[in-house]
Amino acid sequence: MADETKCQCQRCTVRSLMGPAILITIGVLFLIGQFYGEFGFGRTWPVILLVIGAIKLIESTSSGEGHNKQ
Amino acid sequence: MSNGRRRSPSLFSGIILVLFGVILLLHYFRGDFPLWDIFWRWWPALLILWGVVKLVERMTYRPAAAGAGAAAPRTVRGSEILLVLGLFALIGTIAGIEWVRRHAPDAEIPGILGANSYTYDIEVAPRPVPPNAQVTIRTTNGDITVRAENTTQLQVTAKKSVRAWDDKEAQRAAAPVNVVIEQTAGGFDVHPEGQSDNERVGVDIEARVPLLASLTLRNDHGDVKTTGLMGSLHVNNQRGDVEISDCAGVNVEMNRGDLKVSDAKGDVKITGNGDDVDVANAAGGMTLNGDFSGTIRAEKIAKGVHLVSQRADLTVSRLPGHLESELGDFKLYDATGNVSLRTSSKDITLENVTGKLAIENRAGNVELRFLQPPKDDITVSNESSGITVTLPANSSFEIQADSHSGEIESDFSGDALKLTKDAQGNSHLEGKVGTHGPKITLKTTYGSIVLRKAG
Repeated sequence: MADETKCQCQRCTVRSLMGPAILITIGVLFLIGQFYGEFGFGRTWPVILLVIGAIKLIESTSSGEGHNKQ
Repeated sequence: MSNGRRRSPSLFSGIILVLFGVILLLHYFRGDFPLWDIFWRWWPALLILWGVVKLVERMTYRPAAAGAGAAAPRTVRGSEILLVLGLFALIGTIAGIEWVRRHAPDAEIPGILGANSYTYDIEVAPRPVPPNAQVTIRTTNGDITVRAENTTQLQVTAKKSVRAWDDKEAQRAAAPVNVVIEQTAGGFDVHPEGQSDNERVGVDIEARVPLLASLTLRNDHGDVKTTGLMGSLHVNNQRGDVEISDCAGVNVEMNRGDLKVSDAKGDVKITGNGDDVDVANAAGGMTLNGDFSGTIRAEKIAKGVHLVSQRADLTVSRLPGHLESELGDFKLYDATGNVSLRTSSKDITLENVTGKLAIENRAGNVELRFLQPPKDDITVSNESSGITVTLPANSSFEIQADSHSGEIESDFSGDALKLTKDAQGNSHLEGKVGTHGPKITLKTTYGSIVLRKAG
Protein backbone atom coordinates (compact mmCIF):
# COMPACT_ATOMS: atom_id res chain seq x y z
CA MET A 1 0.00 0.00 0.00
CA ALA A 2 1.88 2.98 -1.29
CA ASP A 3 -0.61 5.37 0.21
CA GLU A 4 0.57 4.66 3.73
CA THR A 5 3.84 6.46 3.33
CA LYS A 6 2.08 9.52 2.09
CA CYS A 7 -0.72 9.67 4.60
CA GLN A 8 0.17 11.81 7.57
CA CYS A 9 -2.67 10.87 9.88
CA GLN A 10 -1.74 9.71 13.38
CA ARG A 11 -2.84 6.14 12.84
CA CYS A 12 -0.84 5.64 9.69
CA THR A 13 2.23 7.16 11.36
CA VAL A 14 2.03 4.65 14.20
CA ARG A 15 1.43 1.86 11.73
CA SER A 16 4.52 2.74 9.76
CA LEU A 17 6.58 2.34 12.93
CA MET A 18 5.75 -1.38 13.11
CA GLY A 19 8.46 -2.63 10.77
CA PRO A 20 11.38 -0.65 12.25
CA ALA A 21 10.23 -1.42 15.81
CA ILE A 22 10.25 -5.17 15.14
CA LEU A 23 13.71 -4.98 13.58
CA ILE A 24 15.07 -2.98 16.50
CA THR A 25 13.49 -5.38 19.03
CA ILE A 26 14.99 -8.43 17.35
CA GLY A 27 18.38 -6.73 17.20
CA VAL A 28 18.27 -5.75 20.86
CA LEU A 29 17.15 -9.20 21.96
CA PHE A 30 19.97 -10.94 20.08
CA LEU A 31 22.46 -8.44 21.43
CA ILE A 32 21.30 -9.06 25.00
CA GLY A 33 21.68 -12.76 24.31
CA GLN A 34 25.31 -12.23 23.36
CA PHE A 35 26.16 -10.62 26.67
CA TYR A 36 23.87 -12.35 29.13
CA GLY A 37 23.75 -16.08 28.55
CA GLU A 38 20.57 -16.67 30.46
CA PHE A 39 18.63 -14.10 28.48
CA GLY A 40 19.08 -15.85 25.14
CA PHE A 41 16.79 -15.15 22.22
CA GLY A 42 15.22 -18.59 22.67
CA ARG A 43 13.75 -17.23 25.83
CA THR A 44 13.12 -13.58 25.14
CA TRP A 45 11.47 -13.81 21.72
CA PRO A 46 7.91 -13.35 23.10
CA VAL A 47 8.94 -9.71 23.62
CA ILE A 48 8.41 -9.37 19.86
CA LEU A 49 4.77 -10.37 20.36
CA LEU A 50 4.53 -7.74 23.09
CA VAL A 51 5.94 -5.05 20.82
CA ILE A 52 3.62 -5.92 17.93
CA GLY A 53 0.68 -6.04 20.31
CA ALA A 54 1.55 -2.71 21.89
CA ILE A 55 1.89 -0.98 18.53
CA LYS A 56 -1.41 -2.45 17.42
CA LEU A 57 -3.05 -1.16 20.57
CA ILE A 58 -1.66 2.32 20.08
CA GLU A 59 -2.69 2.19 16.45
CA SER A 60 -6.25 1.26 17.24
CA THR A 61 -6.65 3.95 19.86
CA SER A 62 -5.04 6.72 17.84
CA SER A 63 -7.13 8.96 15.68
CA GLY A 64 -7.55 8.41 12.00
CA GLU A 65 -8.47 11.98 11.42
CA GLY A 66 -7.16 13.38 8.22
CA HIS A 67 -6.61 9.92 6.79
CA ASN A 68 -5.84 10.39 3.19
CA LYS A 69 -6.05 7.71 0.57
CA GLN A 70 -4.66 8.92 -2.69
CA MET B 1 -15.95 12.05 1.04
CA SER B 2 -12.77 11.23 -0.70
CA ASN B 3 -11.56 9.15 2.21
CA GLY B 4 -10.76 5.48 1.69
CA ARG B 5 -12.78 3.07 3.73
CA ARG B 6 -9.79 2.15 5.79
CA ARG B 7 -10.91 0.37 8.93
CA SER B 8 -9.29 1.23 12.17
CA PRO B 9 -7.68 -1.87 13.65
CA SER B 10 -9.54 -3.57 16.44
CA LEU B 11 -8.16 -3.53 19.95
CA PHE B 12 -8.43 -7.28 20.00
CA SER B 13 -5.31 -8.21 18.05
CA GLY B 14 -3.23 -5.88 20.20
CA ILE B 15 -4.64 -7.25 23.44
CA ILE B 16 -4.19 -10.87 22.48
CA LEU B 17 -0.61 -10.35 21.27
CA VAL B 18 0.35 -8.64 24.51
CA LEU B 19 -1.41 -11.35 26.51
CA PHE B 20 0.37 -14.19 24.71
CA GLY B 21 3.67 -12.34 24.97
CA VAL B 22 3.32 -11.98 28.73
CA ILE B 23 2.25 -15.60 29.22
CA LEU B 24 5.15 -16.91 27.15
CA LEU B 25 7.65 -14.74 29.01
CA LEU B 26 6.28 -15.96 32.33
CA HIS B 27 6.60 -19.50 31.05
CA TYR B 28 10.22 -18.99 30.07
CA PHE B 29 11.32 -17.12 33.15
CA ARG B 30 9.42 -19.05 35.76
CA GLY B 31 10.18 -22.70 35.19
CA ASP B 32 6.98 -23.89 36.80
CA PHE B 33 4.49 -22.09 34.59
CA PRO B 34 2.63 -24.93 32.87
CA LEU B 35 1.88 -23.42 29.50
CA TRP B 36 -0.17 -26.20 28.00
CA ASP B 37 -2.33 -26.80 31.08
CA ILE B 38 -3.18 -23.15 31.23
CA PHE B 39 -4.32 -23.05 27.65
CA TRP B 40 -6.16 -26.30 27.94
CA ARG B 41 -8.11 -24.89 30.83
CA TRP B 42 -8.52 -21.27 29.84
CA TRP B 43 -8.99 -21.20 26.07
CA PRO B 44 -12.75 -20.57 26.33
CA ALA B 45 -11.96 -17.36 28.21
CA LEU B 46 -10.26 -16.18 25.05
CA LEU B 47 -13.53 -16.45 23.13
CA ILE B 48 -15.24 -14.46 25.85
CA LEU B 49 -12.54 -11.80 25.74
CA TRP B 50 -12.86 -11.67 21.98
CA GLY B 51 -16.61 -11.20 22.16
CA VAL B 52 -16.43 -8.62 24.93
CA VAL B 53 -13.86 -6.51 23.07
CA LYS B 54 -16.02 -6.60 19.95
CA LEU B 55 -19.11 -5.73 21.93
CA VAL B 56 -17.47 -2.82 23.70
CA GLU B 57 -16.06 -1.48 20.45
CA ARG B 58 -19.43 -1.73 18.85
CA MET B 59 -21.23 0.01 21.68
CA THR B 60 -18.75 2.84 22.04
CA TYR B 61 -18.56 3.45 18.32
CA ARG B 62 -19.26 7.04 17.30
CA PRO B 63 -18.81 7.83 13.62
CA ALA B 64 -17.57 11.35 14.38
CA ALA B 65 -15.07 10.31 17.03
CA ALA B 66 -13.73 7.38 15.09
CA GLY B 67 -12.20 9.60 12.51
CA ALA B 68 -13.33 10.27 9.01
CA GLY B 69 -11.58 7.26 7.59
CA ALA B 70 -13.18 4.62 9.77
CA ALA B 71 -15.68 2.25 8.29
CA ALA B 72 -18.68 1.66 10.43
CA PRO B 73 -19.39 -1.81 11.84
CA ARG B 74 -16.42 -3.70 13.14
CA THR B 75 -16.96 -7.40 13.09
CA VAL B 76 -14.70 -10.34 13.65
CA ARG B 77 -12.20 -10.34 10.86
CA GLY B 78 -10.41 -13.06 8.98
CA SER B 79 -7.05 -11.65 9.99
CA GLU B 80 -7.96 -11.94 13.67
CA ILE B 81 -9.05 -15.54 13.28
CA LEU B 82 -5.74 -16.26 11.55
CA LEU B 83 -3.89 -14.52 14.37
CA VAL B 84 -5.65 -16.57 17.06
CA LEU B 85 -5.12 -19.82 15.18
CA GLY B 86 -1.51 -18.88 14.59
CA LEU B 87 -0.89 -18.16 18.26
CA PHE B 88 -2.55 -21.43 19.26
CA ALA B 89 -0.37 -23.29 16.78
CA LEU B 90 2.64 -21.54 18.31
CA ILE B 91 1.69 -22.58 21.83
CA GLY B 92 0.99 -26.11 20.60
CA THR B 93 4.42 -26.29 18.96
CA ILE B 94 6.21 -25.03 22.06
CA ALA B 95 4.29 -27.40 24.31
CA GLY B 96 4.97 -30.26 21.89
CA ILE B 97 8.70 -29.59 21.84
CA GLU B 98 8.81 -29.43 25.61
CA TRP B 99 6.82 -32.64 25.88
CA VAL B 100 9.28 -34.42 23.61
CA ARG B 101 12.15 -32.98 25.61
CA ARG B 102 10.68 -34.22 28.85
CA HIS B 103 9.79 -37.68 27.61
CA ALA B 104 12.83 -38.23 25.43
CA PRO B 105 15.61 -36.26 27.08
CA ASP B 106 18.12 -37.55 24.56
CA ALA B 107 16.32 -36.06 21.58
CA GLU B 108 18.41 -33.41 19.87
CA ILE B 109 16.44 -30.18 19.76
CA PRO B 110 18.17 -26.90 19.04
CA GLY B 111 18.69 -24.95 22.24
CA ILE B 112 16.92 -21.94 20.83
CA LEU B 113 13.60 -23.71 21.12
CA GLY B 114 13.43 -24.28 24.85
CA ALA B 115 15.18 -24.84 28.13
CA ASN B 116 17.22 -27.95 28.80
CA SER B 117 16.80 -30.37 31.61
CA TYR B 118 19.70 -30.81 34.01
CA THR B 119 19.94 -33.76 36.37
CA TYR B 120 22.06 -34.24 39.47
CA ASP B 121 22.43 -37.25 41.75
CA ILE B 122 21.64 -37.00 45.44
CA GLU B 123 23.51 -39.20 47.89
CA VAL B 124 21.47 -40.59 50.77
CA ALA B 125 23.10 -42.77 53.43
CA PRO B 126 21.33 -46.15 53.88
CA ARG B 127 19.49 -46.65 57.14
CA PRO B 128 19.07 -49.98 58.97
CA VAL B 129 15.37 -50.61 59.56
CA PRO B 130 13.29 -53.38 61.17
CA PRO B 131 11.96 -55.97 58.71
CA ASN B 132 8.38 -54.78 59.10
CA ALA B 133 9.20 -51.07 59.12
CA GLN B 134 6.61 -48.50 58.19
CA VAL B 135 8.08 -46.50 55.36
CA THR B 136 6.58 -43.41 53.79
CA ILE B 137 8.09 -42.06 50.61
CA ARG B 138 6.83 -38.85 49.15
CA THR B 139 7.77 -36.36 46.52
CA THR B 140 5.81 -33.61 44.87
CA ASN B 141 7.23 -33.60 41.41
CA GLY B 142 9.09 -36.65 40.20
CA ASP B 143 8.91 -40.42 40.01
CA ILE B 144 8.97 -42.90 42.87
CA THR B 145 10.31 -46.38 42.22
CA VAL B 146 10.40 -48.93 45.01
CA ARG B 147 11.71 -52.46 44.99
CA ALA B 148 11.20 -54.73 47.96
CA GLU B 149 13.94 -57.24 48.54
CA ASN B 150 15.66 -59.34 51.14
CA THR B 151 17.46 -56.55 52.96
CA THR B 152 17.61 -55.01 56.41
CA GLN B 153 18.31 -51.53 55.15
CA LEU B 154 16.35 -48.73 53.67
CA GLN B 155 18.40 -47.70 50.68
CA VAL B 156 17.53 -44.56 48.82
CA THR B 157 19.03 -43.10 45.70
CA ALA B 158 17.59 -39.89 44.33
CA LYS B 159 17.93 -37.57 41.42
CA LYS B 160 17.01 -33.95 41.20
CA SER B 161 16.26 -32.42 37.86
CA VAL B 162 15.67 -28.86 36.90
CA ARG B 163 14.84 -27.16 33.64
CA ALA B 164 17.07 -24.23 32.96
CA TRP B 165 18.83 -22.38 30.20
CA ASP B 166 22.34 -23.10 31.31
CA ASP B 167 24.22 -25.25 33.77
CA LYS B 168 24.96 -22.35 36.09
CA GLU B 169 21.34 -21.40 36.51
CA ALA B 170 20.40 -25.07 36.93
CA GLN B 171 22.95 -25.61 39.70
CA ARG B 172 21.82 -22.52 41.51
CA ALA B 173 18.22 -23.70 41.51
CA ALA B 174 19.02 -27.30 42.41
CA ALA B 175 21.72 -26.76 45.04
CA PRO B 176 19.47 -26.40 48.13
CA VAL B 177 17.44 -29.51 47.31
CA ASN B 178 18.19 -32.73 49.16
CA VAL B 179 16.49 -35.98 50.11
CA VAL B 180 16.35 -37.09 53.73
CA ILE B 181 15.29 -40.19 55.66
CA GLU B 182 13.56 -38.95 58.77
CA GLN B 183 12.71 -41.19 61.68
CA THR B 184 9.21 -40.46 62.91
CA ALA B 185 7.04 -41.95 65.62
CA GLY B 186 5.41 -44.28 63.14
CA GLY B 187 8.45 -45.25 61.14
CA PHE B 188 10.59 -43.73 58.43
CA ASP B 189 9.74 -40.83 56.20
CA VAL B 190 11.67 -40.30 52.99
CA HIS B 191 11.13 -36.94 51.33
CA PRO B 192 12.87 -34.08 49.56
CA GLU B 193 13.97 -31.03 51.49
CA GLY B 194 14.84 -27.50 50.47
CA GLN B 195 12.47 -27.21 47.55
CA SER B 196 11.30 -23.68 47.01
CA ASP B 197 7.62 -22.99 46.85
CA ASN B 198 7.28 -23.24 43.13
CA GLU B 199 8.76 -26.73 43.12
CA ARG B 200 10.73 -26.07 40.05
CA VAL B 201 13.18 -28.80 40.96
CA GLY B 202 11.79 -32.27 40.41
CA VAL B 203 13.00 -35.08 42.65
CA ASP B 204 12.95 -38.73 41.56
CA ILE B 205 13.32 -41.24 44.38
CA GLU B 206 14.39 -44.83 44.04
CA ALA B 207 14.26 -47.00 47.13
CA ARG B 208 14.91 -50.55 48.25
CA VAL B 209 12.92 -51.68 51.27
CA PRO B 210 12.64 -54.94 53.23
CA LEU B 211 10.10 -57.41 51.82
CA LEU B 212 7.72 -57.09 54.75
CA ALA B 213 7.79 -53.32 55.07
CA SER B 214 4.54 -51.39 55.12
CA LEU B 215 4.79 -48.80 52.45
CA THR B 216 2.99 -45.52 51.82
CA LEU B 217 3.82 -43.68 48.62
CA ARG B 218 2.65 -40.15 47.95
CA ASN B 219 3.22 -38.15 44.84
CA ASP B 220 1.64 -35.05 43.38
CA HIS B 221 3.03 -35.15 39.93
CA GLY B 222 4.93 -38.10 38.51
CA ASP B 223 4.85 -41.85 38.19
CA VAL B 224 4.89 -44.42 40.94
CA LYS B 225 6.22 -47.90 40.48
CA THR B 226 6.68 -50.69 42.98
CA THR B 227 7.45 -54.35 42.85
CA GLY B 228 7.82 -57.27 45.21
CA LEU B 229 6.36 -55.82 48.40
CA MET B 230 4.85 -58.33 50.82
CA GLY B 231 3.72 -55.83 53.47
CA SER B 232 0.82 -53.45 53.12
CA LEU B 233 0.92 -50.90 50.35
CA HIS B 234 -0.85 -47.59 50.09
CA VAL B 235 -0.39 -45.33 47.08
CA ASN B 236 -1.66 -41.80 46.75
CA ASN B 237 -0.78 -40.32 43.39
CA GLN B 238 -2.44 -37.12 42.25
CA ARG B 239 -1.18 -37.02 38.74
CA GLY B 240 0.78 -39.65 36.93
CA ASP B 241 0.83 -43.36 36.22
CA VAL B 242 0.93 -46.06 38.86
CA GLU B 243 2.39 -49.48 38.23
CA ILE B 244 2.35 -52.16 40.89
CA SER B 245 3.53 -55.69 40.40
CA ASP B 246 3.85 -58.52 42.88
CA CYS B 247 2.27 -57.18 46.01
CA ALA B 248 0.36 -58.47 49.00
CA GLY B 249 -2.56 -56.15 48.49
CA VAL B 250 -2.85 -52.54 47.64
CA ASN B 251 -4.90 -49.47 48.25
CA VAL B 252 -4.57 -46.85 45.51
CA GLU B 253 -5.92 -43.34 45.48
CA MET B 254 -5.36 -41.39 42.32
CA ASN B 255 -6.65 -38.42 40.43
CA ARG B 256 -5.25 -38.58 36.98
CA GLY B 257 -3.23 -41.14 35.09
CA ASP B 258 -3.16 -44.85 34.32
CA LEU B 259 -3.06 -47.66 36.82
CA LYS B 260 -1.63 -51.12 36.35
CA VAL B 261 -1.66 -53.78 39.03
CA SER B 262 -0.48 -57.32 38.47
CA ASP B 263 -0.08 -60.33 40.74
CA ALA B 264 -1.67 -59.19 43.96
CA LYS B 265 -1.93 -61.73 46.74
CA GLY B 266 -4.68 -59.79 48.44
CA ASP B 267 -7.31 -57.18 47.69
CA VAL B 268 -6.88 -54.33 45.22
CA LYS B 269 -8.74 -51.22 46.22
CA ILE B 270 -8.87 -48.23 43.92
CA THR B 271 -10.51 -44.89 44.52
CA GLY B 272 -10.44 -41.61 42.66
CA ASN B 273 -10.29 -40.63 39.04
CA GLY B 274 -8.04 -41.45 36.16
CA ASP B 275 -7.72 -42.90 32.71
CA ASP B 276 -6.95 -46.58 32.13
CA VAL B 277 -7.07 -49.24 34.80
CA ASP B 278 -5.61 -52.68 34.28
CA VAL B 279 -5.69 -55.25 37.07
CA ALA B 280 -4.54 -58.80 36.43
CA ASN B 281 -4.14 -61.85 38.67
CA ALA B 282 -5.45 -60.97 42.08
CA ALA B 283 -5.93 -63.61 44.74
CA GLY B 284 -8.27 -61.22 46.54
CA GLY B 285 -11.01 -59.00 45.22
CA MET B 286 -10.92 -55.81 43.23
CA THR B 287 -12.88 -52.74 44.25
CA LEU B 288 -12.92 -49.65 42.13
CA ASN B 289 -14.76 -46.58 43.24
CA GLY B 290 -14.55 -43.55 41.01
CA ASP B 291 -14.61 -42.35 37.46
CA PHE B 292 -11.98 -43.61 35.10
CA SER B 293 -12.35 -42.23 31.64
CA GLY B 294 -10.28 -44.80 29.79
CA THR B 295 -10.55 -48.55 29.58
CA ILE B 296 -11.02 -50.59 32.73
CA ARG B 297 -9.64 -54.09 32.39
CA ALA B 298 -9.72 -56.82 34.97
CA GLU B 299 -8.45 -60.32 34.52
CA LYS B 300 -8.43 -63.34 36.83
CA ILE B 301 -9.74 -61.77 40.00
CA ALA B 302 -10.36 -64.66 42.40
CA LYS B 303 -12.70 -62.91 44.78
CA GLY B 304 -14.57 -60.90 42.21
CA VAL B 305 -14.90 -57.35 41.07
CA HIS B 306 -16.91 -54.49 42.42
CA LEU B 307 -17.04 -51.37 40.27
CA VAL B 308 -18.88 -48.23 41.29
CA SER B 309 -18.87 -45.07 39.24
CA GLN B 310 -21.32 -42.36 38.33
CA ARG B 311 -22.35 -44.33 35.30
CA ALA B 312 -22.12 -47.94 36.32
CA ASP B 313 -22.46 -50.31 39.22
CA LEU B 314 -21.06 -53.77 38.70
CA THR B 315 -20.56 -56.78 40.88
CA VAL B 316 -18.98 -59.98 39.64
CA SER B 317 -18.55 -62.49 42.42
CA ARG B 318 -15.73 -64.49 40.79
CA LEU B 319 -13.83 -63.64 37.66
CA PRO B 320 -11.61 -66.39 36.22
CA GLY B 321 -11.93 -64.69 32.83
CA HIS B 322 -11.73 -61.01 32.10
CA LEU B 323 -13.80 -57.89 31.73
CA GLU B 324 -13.35 -54.72 29.80
CA SER B 325 -15.31 -51.54 30.28
CA GLU B 326 -14.96 -48.33 28.36
CA LEU B 327 -17.07 -45.36 27.44
CA GLY B 328 -19.78 -47.03 25.36
CA ASP B 329 -18.89 -50.66 25.80
CA PHE B 330 -18.87 -53.32 28.45
CA LYS B 331 -17.58 -56.84 27.88
CA LEU B 332 -17.36 -59.71 30.32
CA TYR B 333 -15.96 -63.13 29.46
CA ASP B 334 -15.93 -66.20 31.65
CA ALA B 335 -17.25 -65.32 35.04
CA THR B 336 -18.45 -67.81 37.60
CA GLY B 337 -20.72 -66.72 40.37
CA ASN B 338 -23.25 -63.97 40.27
CA VAL B 339 -23.09 -60.90 38.10
CA SER B 340 -25.09 -57.77 38.60
CA LEU B 341 -24.65 -54.73 36.41
CA ARG B 342 -26.50 -51.47 36.31
CA THR B 343 -25.47 -48.89 33.75
CA SER B 344 -26.67 -46.91 30.76
CA SER B 345 -25.61 -46.04 27.24
CA LYS B 346 -23.29 -48.99 26.99
CA ASP B 347 -23.36 -51.93 24.63
CA ILE B 348 -23.07 -54.90 26.92
CA THR B 349 -21.66 -58.26 25.93
CA LEU B 350 -21.48 -61.16 28.36
CA GLU B 351 -20.07 -64.49 27.36
CA ASN B 352 -19.88 -67.70 29.34
CA VAL B 353 -21.20 -66.37 32.58
CA THR B 354 -22.47 -69.07 34.92
CA GLY B 355 -24.38 -67.88 37.91
CA LYS B 356 -27.18 -65.54 38.65
CA LEU B 357 -27.38 -62.63 36.28
CA ALA B 358 -29.08 -59.27 36.74
CA ILE B 359 -28.59 -56.51 34.18
CA GLU B 360 -30.16 -53.10 33.97
CA ASN B 361 -29.30 -50.92 31.02
CA ARG B 362 -30.61 -48.07 28.96
CA ALA B 363 -29.83 -46.98 25.40
CA GLY B 364 -27.40 -49.78 24.67
CA ASN B 365 -27.72 -53.30 23.32
CA VAL B 366 -27.39 -56.25 25.63
CA GLU B 367 -25.99 -59.46 24.29
CA LEU B 368 -25.67 -62.64 26.35
CA ARG B 369 -23.96 -65.75 25.04
CA PHE B 370 -24.12 -68.95 27.04
CA LEU B 371 -21.76 -71.81 26.31
CA GLN B 372 -23.44 -74.03 28.94
CA PRO B 373 -27.17 -74.30 29.60
CA PRO B 374 -27.96 -71.67 32.24
CA LYS B 375 -28.55 -72.91 35.78
CA ASP B 376 -29.45 -69.69 37.55
CA ASP B 377 -31.99 -66.97 36.99
CA ILE B 378 -31.36 -64.29 34.40
CA THR B 379 -32.96 -60.86 34.53
CA VAL B 380 -32.32 -58.21 31.90
CA SER B 381 -34.15 -54.92 31.68
CA ASN B 382 -33.32 -52.43 28.99
CA GLU B 383 -34.76 -49.31 27.37
CA SER B 384 -34.65 -48.08 23.80
CA SER B 385 -32.40 -50.95 22.75
CA GLY B 386 -32.43 -54.63 22.01
CA ILE B 387 -31.60 -57.78 23.93
CA THR B 388 -30.04 -60.83 22.32
CA VAL B 389 -29.65 -64.09 24.24
CA THR B 390 -27.87 -67.06 22.73
CA LEU B 391 -28.39 -70.40 24.49
CA PRO B 392 -27.20 -73.94 23.79
CA ALA B 393 -29.83 -76.05 22.02
CA ASN B 394 -30.21 -78.37 25.02
CA SER B 395 -31.03 -75.55 27.46
CA SER B 396 -34.01 -75.73 29.75
CA PHE B 397 -35.59 -72.53 30.97
CA GLU B 398 -38.73 -70.74 31.85
CA ILE B 399 -39.03 -67.48 29.99
CA GLN B 400 -40.98 -64.29 30.27
CA ALA B 401 -40.05 -61.64 27.72
CA ASP B 402 -41.72 -58.31 27.04
CA SER B 403 -40.91 -55.78 24.40
CA HIS B 404 -42.84 -52.56 24.56
CA SER B 405 -43.30 -51.38 20.95
CA GLY B 406 -40.80 -53.95 19.73
CA GLU B 407 -40.47 -57.41 18.20
CA ILE B 408 -39.61 -60.72 19.78
CA GLU B 409 -37.91 -63.40 17.76
CA SER B 410 -37.21 -66.89 19.06
CA ASP B 411 -35.33 -69.88 17.65
CA PHE B 412 -36.82 -71.95 20.42
CA SER B 413 -40.39 -73.07 19.89
CA GLY B 414 -42.83 -75.58 21.28
CA ASP B 415 -46.30 -76.04 22.65
CA ALA B 416 -45.32 -74.66 26.03
CA LEU B 417 -43.98 -71.44 24.49
CA LYS B 418 -46.41 -68.72 23.46
CA LEU B 419 -45.53 -65.61 21.47
CA THR B 420 -48.19 -62.92 21.23
CA LYS B 421 -48.36 -59.42 19.84
CA ASP B 422 -51.09 -56.98 20.73
CA ALA B 423 -52.66 -54.20 18.69
CA GLN B 424 -50.35 -51.54 20.15
CA GLY B 425 -47.30 -53.38 18.87
CA ASN B 426 -46.17 -54.81 22.21
CA SER B 427 -44.73 -58.31 22.03
CA HIS B 428 -44.85 -60.93 24.73
CA LEU B 429 -43.21 -64.34 24.99
CA GLU B 430 -43.97 -66.67 27.80
CA GLY B 431 -43.51 -70.34 28.50
CA LYS B 432 -41.16 -73.19 29.19
CA VAL B 433 -38.50 -75.05 27.32
CA GLY B 434 -37.42 -78.37 28.79
CA THR B 435 -37.93 -79.01 32.46
CA HIS B 436 -36.61 -77.54 35.69
CA GLY B 437 -34.93 -74.67 33.94
CA PRO B 438 -34.08 -71.35 35.58
CA LYS B 439 -36.18 -68.24 35.05
CA ILE B 440 -35.24 -65.89 32.28
CA THR B 441 -36.89 -62.47 32.46
CA LEU B 442 -36.22 -60.05 29.61
CA LYS B 443 -37.78 -56.64 29.31
CA THR B 444 -37.18 -53.77 26.94
CA THR B 445 -38.86 -50.86 25.19
CA TYR B 446 -38.46 -49.80 21.57
CA GLY B 447 -36.07 -52.61 20.83
CA SER B 448 -36.28 -56.22 19.79
CA ILE B 449 -35.63 -59.29 21.87
CA VAL B 450 -33.92 -62.16 20.09
CA LEU B 451 -33.58 -65.63 21.51
CA ARG B 452 -31.03 -67.70 19.59
CA LYS B 453 -30.05 -71.33 19.61
CA ALA B 454 -26.29 -71.71 19.58
CA GLY B 455 -24.61 -73.60 16.77
